[in-house]
Amino acid sequence: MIEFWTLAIAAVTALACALSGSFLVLKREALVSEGLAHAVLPGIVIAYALLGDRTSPLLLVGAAAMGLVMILMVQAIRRTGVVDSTASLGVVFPALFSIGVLLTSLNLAGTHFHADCIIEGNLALAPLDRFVVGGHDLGPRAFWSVSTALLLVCGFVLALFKELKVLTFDPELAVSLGFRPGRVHVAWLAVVSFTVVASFEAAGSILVVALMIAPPAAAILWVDDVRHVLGLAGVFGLVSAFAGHEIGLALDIAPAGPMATSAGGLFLASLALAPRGVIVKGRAYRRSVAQMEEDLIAARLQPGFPRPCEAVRSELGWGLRRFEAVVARAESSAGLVRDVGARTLHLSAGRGEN
Amino acid sequence: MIERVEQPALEVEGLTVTYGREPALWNADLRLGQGALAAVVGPNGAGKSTLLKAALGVVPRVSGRVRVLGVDPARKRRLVAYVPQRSSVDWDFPTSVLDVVTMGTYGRLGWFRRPGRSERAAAMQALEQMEMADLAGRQIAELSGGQQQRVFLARALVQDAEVYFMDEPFAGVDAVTEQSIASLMGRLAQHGKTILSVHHDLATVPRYFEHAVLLNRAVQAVGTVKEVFHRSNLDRLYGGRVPADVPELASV
Repeated sequence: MIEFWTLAIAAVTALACALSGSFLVLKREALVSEGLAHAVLPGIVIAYALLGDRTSPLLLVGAAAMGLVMILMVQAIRRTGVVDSTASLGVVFPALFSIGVLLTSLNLAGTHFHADCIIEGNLALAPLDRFVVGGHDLGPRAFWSVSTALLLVCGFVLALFKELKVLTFDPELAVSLGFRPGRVHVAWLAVVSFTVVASFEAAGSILVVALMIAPPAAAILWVDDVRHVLGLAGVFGLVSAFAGHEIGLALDIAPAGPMATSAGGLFLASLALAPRGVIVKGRAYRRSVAQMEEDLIAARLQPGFPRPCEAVRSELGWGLRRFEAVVARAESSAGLVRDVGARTLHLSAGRGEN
Repeated sequence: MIERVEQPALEVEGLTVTYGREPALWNADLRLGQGALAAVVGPNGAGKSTLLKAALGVVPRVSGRVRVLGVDPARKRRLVAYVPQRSSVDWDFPTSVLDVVTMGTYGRLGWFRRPGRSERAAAMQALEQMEMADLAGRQIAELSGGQQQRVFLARALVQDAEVYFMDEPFAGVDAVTEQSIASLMGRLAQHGKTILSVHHDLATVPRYFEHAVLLNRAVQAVGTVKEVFHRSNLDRLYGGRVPADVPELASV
């Protein structure tokens, strides 16, 4: 049963993170997730210190609100234009994170976080922390919190899909159409912040970032519609969760590391294999260059009129090795004929001008 | 030009915008009648794009009032359409040509409602007008610059607005596209639509536009091309650096 809950928590977390990360990746703001994963830590610790009750759902809300405030502050700093955008993330979030770590180390109000948990969460123990209401055991608390996050994300995307799309693609158009991109953006970041907080305990700060960025970044390489990006990102997230869980069991290690690694592996595989990936693009490029090389030689020749190899080669500005390779290819495919002494080239009679 | 109605199509009063210490736009006033086809010209940094963006509410105003047919466009967004600079969006965004054009219907739909068959049909029609119907299913990442510009114009057409704000629609497009954009503007103006378009190429102002707004932070002159687009005004606008061979300058 614990097995089942571990997997269920991992799967729901991965799905919520992948969906909420998709619009950040599409907006080319993927690092906001990194920022949030750092910024919520002091939020969690302070909310915990204020509430004193680790099981209260208010803890999630409080921490998410603090995460949101932090990210809005960073965006305000960025808007001043004094510090550039990546630098403002780089300056502010590590500082916030270190404040969180400091507060944790000081054992403020007896917080239960350990440094290890902050980095990679504690998925293995999450199923043991039950959500008990009126004496009824409703399952692990972490499952309820990440499920709430998933519902919020799905609800938001379903209700405001077109608004999210237009404000991601063209915020100025969104304003001129009468939408309020600022407010939608803040509301969306609130949902993302809640997702990060809810995932934090089970997944930790590194895994949250991996699950938010890698699946949508991989999905974009395969499909070309926002809807499909969301769907495929969700699938990649789930695959990472299952694979990570299985690898963790097989190696008898915590699942968070293998999950992040799986997500990264899926991205690398997509980068290599997807239609917009490097292998397909590289092969298409090499093929078209090869074809052009043959055509370029053929264009300098006429059937029945041999020309010296050296003249053709120097016109093309090719090295000897490249020239030999192209001629060898073209002899079999393009009807190119080299005389016996290999001094001159001509086109076979069957081939007209190209 | 004889105004067809007493009410100006576009009325801008005292529009002031700043991004820092200096005003980007100072106390700009202008009035355009229905069917006016106006170029906004001025040197770099004159606030041309800012004028459009402030009128649309995309950038905050320090002061000023905008009326379209007597109505605040912030209350009735359907009255205005915006064609931003091509470079303002990420053309690698995973979406199709038809989808981008359909975004023009989002304002009419309002919050929460999704575009349906009639919205896509309207988008398709606009694409046909821009001679882009065959590219409806194409990924926007695969478009040429001229095609991108025509997608943006189709998106504005779908909005079926009264006033069209265009930010350099002719920038970086080939001669064929330039011609089709110009004829589209002409058709819109003939149908009583008003166009305010940022334009860089002084030589083509008299050919493509009937009105000109000379802007350098403040509006220096507004009127028909015949009235205001002549050498002394332009020399003042550009600080005496207008090349002598700009053709077709009205000789007033």
